[in-house]
Amino acid sequence: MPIEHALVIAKQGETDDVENLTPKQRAFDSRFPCLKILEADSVDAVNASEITFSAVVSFPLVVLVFLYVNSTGEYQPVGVTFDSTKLYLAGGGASGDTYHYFICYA
Amino acid sequence: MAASLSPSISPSVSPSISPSISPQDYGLRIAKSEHDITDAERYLIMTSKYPVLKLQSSDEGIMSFTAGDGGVTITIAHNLGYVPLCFVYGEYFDTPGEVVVNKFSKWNRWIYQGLQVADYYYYYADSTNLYIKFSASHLTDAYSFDLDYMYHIFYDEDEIA
Repeated sequence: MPIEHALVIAKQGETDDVENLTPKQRAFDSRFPCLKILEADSVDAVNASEITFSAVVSFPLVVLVFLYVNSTGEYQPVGVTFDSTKLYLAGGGASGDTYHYFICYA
Repeated sequence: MAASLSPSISPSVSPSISPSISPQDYGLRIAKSEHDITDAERYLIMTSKYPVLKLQSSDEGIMSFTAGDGGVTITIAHNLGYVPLCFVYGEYFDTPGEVVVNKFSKWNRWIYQGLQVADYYYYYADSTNLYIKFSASHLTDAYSFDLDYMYHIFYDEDEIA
């Protein structure tokens, strides 16, 4: 029966049989979908940008965006908007600032 | 005359494997297209060196806000017994424009109407539920509207039973 089998990958360094491992000791378990990166890239943050998704996107998504502030060398999480076709980045950063974005399925 | 048999095998086979394999020496690595498994980890689809985030549940929904109610809460049961990692995204209401903006953003945000009065969009979780909340300013409270939202709840790697 399908429920009786699954793909379980032990985390590197674990020596026990996978059946005896706790979930934390498993790198992957096909009982649970994992977060998959559909797109990841970076763009200049000085000007506003509209990132068109390269693939057909269906909801729900996980969208994570960080602003790299060149003057401080820090990465800040930023609020952005998106719809089923595009990610909208506001811009307004200083020269050298960069958006790093991750568009993910789960 | 019987032929003699040699008891030796040449070359000899050593029963030992050198260097020995330790748990740190092996794992599963899957490389991205056009990359090799010996490339840096950022070029891997997956490595068993690290666990992946495992999804407990995800879905979409509609939050209906009625004028005069002041706010609305969507409660989503997860019953995990601990506070999980969650992501929530949703639409928001543009009060000056009197229209729902059909774009999604991370739900933790507030929109000022003047200097101190704000609409709050936020979420939090406890050991039983995920709560998606909207609290309207007195200006926005004059309108009724629907907001689309989506959420993901992930297992805590330390807590999956």
